[in-house]
Amino acid sequence: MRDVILLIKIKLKMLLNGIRFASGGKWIKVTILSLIGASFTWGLYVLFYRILVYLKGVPLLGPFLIVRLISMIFLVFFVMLVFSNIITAFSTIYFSSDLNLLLLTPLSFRSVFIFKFFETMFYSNWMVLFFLLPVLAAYANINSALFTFYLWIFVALFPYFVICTSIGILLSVVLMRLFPSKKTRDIFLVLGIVLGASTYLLVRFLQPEKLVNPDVMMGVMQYLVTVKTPMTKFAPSFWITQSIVSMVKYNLGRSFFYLGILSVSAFLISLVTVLIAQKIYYTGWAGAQEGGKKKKPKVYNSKHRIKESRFPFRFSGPMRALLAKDIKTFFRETSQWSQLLLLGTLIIVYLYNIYKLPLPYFYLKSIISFLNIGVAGFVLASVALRFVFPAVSLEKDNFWIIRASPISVKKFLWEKFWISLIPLLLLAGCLIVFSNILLEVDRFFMILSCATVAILTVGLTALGTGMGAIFPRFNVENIAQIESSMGGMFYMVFSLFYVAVILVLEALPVRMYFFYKLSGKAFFNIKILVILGLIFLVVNVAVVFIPMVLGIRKIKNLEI
Amino acid sequence: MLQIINLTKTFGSLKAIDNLNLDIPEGEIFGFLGPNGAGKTTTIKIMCGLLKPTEGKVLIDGYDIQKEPEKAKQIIGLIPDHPFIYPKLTGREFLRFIGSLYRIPLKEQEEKIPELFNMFELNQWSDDLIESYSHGMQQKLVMSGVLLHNPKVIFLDEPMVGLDPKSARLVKEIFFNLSKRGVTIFMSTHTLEIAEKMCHRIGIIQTGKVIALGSKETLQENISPDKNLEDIFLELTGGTEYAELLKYL
Repeated sequence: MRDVILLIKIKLKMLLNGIRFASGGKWIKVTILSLIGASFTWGLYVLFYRILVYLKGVPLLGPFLIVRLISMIFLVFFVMLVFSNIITAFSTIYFSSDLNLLLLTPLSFRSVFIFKFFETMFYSNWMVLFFLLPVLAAYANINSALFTFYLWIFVALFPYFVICTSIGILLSVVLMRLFPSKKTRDIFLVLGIVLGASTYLLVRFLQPEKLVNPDVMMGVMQYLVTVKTPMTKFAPSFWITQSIVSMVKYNLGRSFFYLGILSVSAFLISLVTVLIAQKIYYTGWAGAQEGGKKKKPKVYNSKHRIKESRFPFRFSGPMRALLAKDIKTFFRETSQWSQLLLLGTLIIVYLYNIYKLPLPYFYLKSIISFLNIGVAGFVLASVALRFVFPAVSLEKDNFWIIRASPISVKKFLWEKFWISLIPLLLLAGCLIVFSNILLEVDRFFMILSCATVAILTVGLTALGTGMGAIFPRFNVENIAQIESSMGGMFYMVFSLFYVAVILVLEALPVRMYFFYKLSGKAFFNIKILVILGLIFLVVNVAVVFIPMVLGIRKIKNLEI
Repeated sequence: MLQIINLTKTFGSLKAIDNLNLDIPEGEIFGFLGPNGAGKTTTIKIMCGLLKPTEGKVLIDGYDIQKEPEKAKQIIGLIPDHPFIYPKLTGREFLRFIGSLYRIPLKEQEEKIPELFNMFELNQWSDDLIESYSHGMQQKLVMSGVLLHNPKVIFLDEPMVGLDPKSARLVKEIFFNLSKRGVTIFMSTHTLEIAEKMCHRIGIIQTGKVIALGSKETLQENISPDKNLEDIFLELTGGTEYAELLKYL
């Protein structure tokens, strides 16, 4: 255990050094993220407080429904946490870069494993903790709980998290023993994304907005009462719910009883996990480090050559090489292409939301159709943050190849622009055309919104590519660090501002058109239209060229 | 072929290269030696256009690497000590990529790529992803990429790191032959034996300044006729002072 404490101390030291040596930019970033996190937590607290107050007011069933709701939250999180622990465990226990050093030292496998257990537990559960705290605080507040209840939350959550982590790690250890390969991790990563996307779709299709309707709400409550879940009594989610609910009522005996069950189970399952890992962890880890089986040399046929020489499109040799390289690496990186699944889900939900919008009047429909351009712009900006902004940074340590080659920086960056623009235009087209069809807009509006979104796409792509080059992050382990960097934040602020400016510039001409449609009289002021058109042109040219030129300049002067 | 004129590079208050001047003719193998942190990799990076000089310039076959980077880069090849290459491409795809970047005609690529795979004994892995390659295999792949576009000047930064003895011998032979055909080779290395055997001229750099320059024989004549290159190097760079300390270990 001394070794485990030493390893945890080192980890904490690294964390503290991160704070000690943080730059001014990092502090700004942390402050902004903290503010966003605090607002989210507060919003969650207010939302749950209202829900719980509402449920408490339901005659006879109120307290029962609240317990059911909390129990369901813990059950859902239990499943999610087990899955998240499986995926995290692959990275922390098998593919973490520090393992090569740790397993080279005379530390026992058990010590390293226990240390990695805590690491996995921290990475997998901290976000859920931030979600659960406002929910449970709201619950405490409506019951006027004592201060000790808040401490009790932490005491009860610890064994709950230990159980989730133990099950997740145990499954990953067994899986890696049976299939020791990086592919196992990739498969679970994709499964995780599919699970997340499916849950999102399911929740959306259940139409939670209907719960606002009291008649529907009553029906749901009746359903909750009648549903029998006897198995729940054997699940950690039930134990933690009972322990917390009993504590709020100050029923200490019952609360301690369920905490006892939770703690003993946590101890036993973590012990079993460590004991099993002691037997099979090393074999799985060693197997995971090995490459795939050596294959016979392939015959390089002429068909392949023809396909490559024509693909993609009619760009020059170096440009085509860069395009082909980017496309291949994108589709071979599971963490990259799997994001397309989330993107697909996003489009479905976006279109479904528009389909479900109640728009009985022409006026309302017109406003929504116009605002739809802005929403589409916002979606495209977010997608560009994920796929376009990191394009330069994703060259990572390989960037020396580009810089040492005779390809110009200008060509390199414009290649990044083109390769992002084409799929983004397709996405933009799908979003705006289908949403316009669902909104039943007229021809003028269809043309206007399609043209605007196409221009926005060009602007956002250039902004993303250029700013990605101005703020490159080559030394990152995952793409999330690029998106959440200072540059990523600047990009998001600029892109949203750009979308807003375009909407403002179009607002007046659109208003003129709607007046014309409603009254039949022409209100067009040519002078204003020309001025707005010129500003529109200048803004778009600036958004396309300024970030690209600055990005090219930055890369030219970049020292690697 | 390769001219370094009044080259200076500073990082903040640190002068990594201090008014460096070198003139390396066509077909010469030039060994660039120096202790850690002397400025060897910085010099190579500036010559390849990966770093900007604070002062001075580098001319490659008459092209200034800062003013005409594309023309200069078309005729150079770099083999770094840690060859990071796209892990999600196969070896063959990587060479095709390099071939296209340097505008090598497709037909020529089709002919040369299998030859290079054969020469470096990478045939078996040519269609595997690079992420499954060992360090030595990646090094050989980068060398193949450099040889694919027939550069006039090759920069080598610790070229033998990670290579097995057979490959190391092969690489030495290749560079000897290239030098005979007029290719200039600028090699930074810590392996003094390699420098002694391979290089026509040697430059020793310390704290950014060249402190000795010439052929092995010239260095011996000027510094100490009865000493080998290792002794000369240690004498110049101060390595002999450790001998006393080592007695206690």
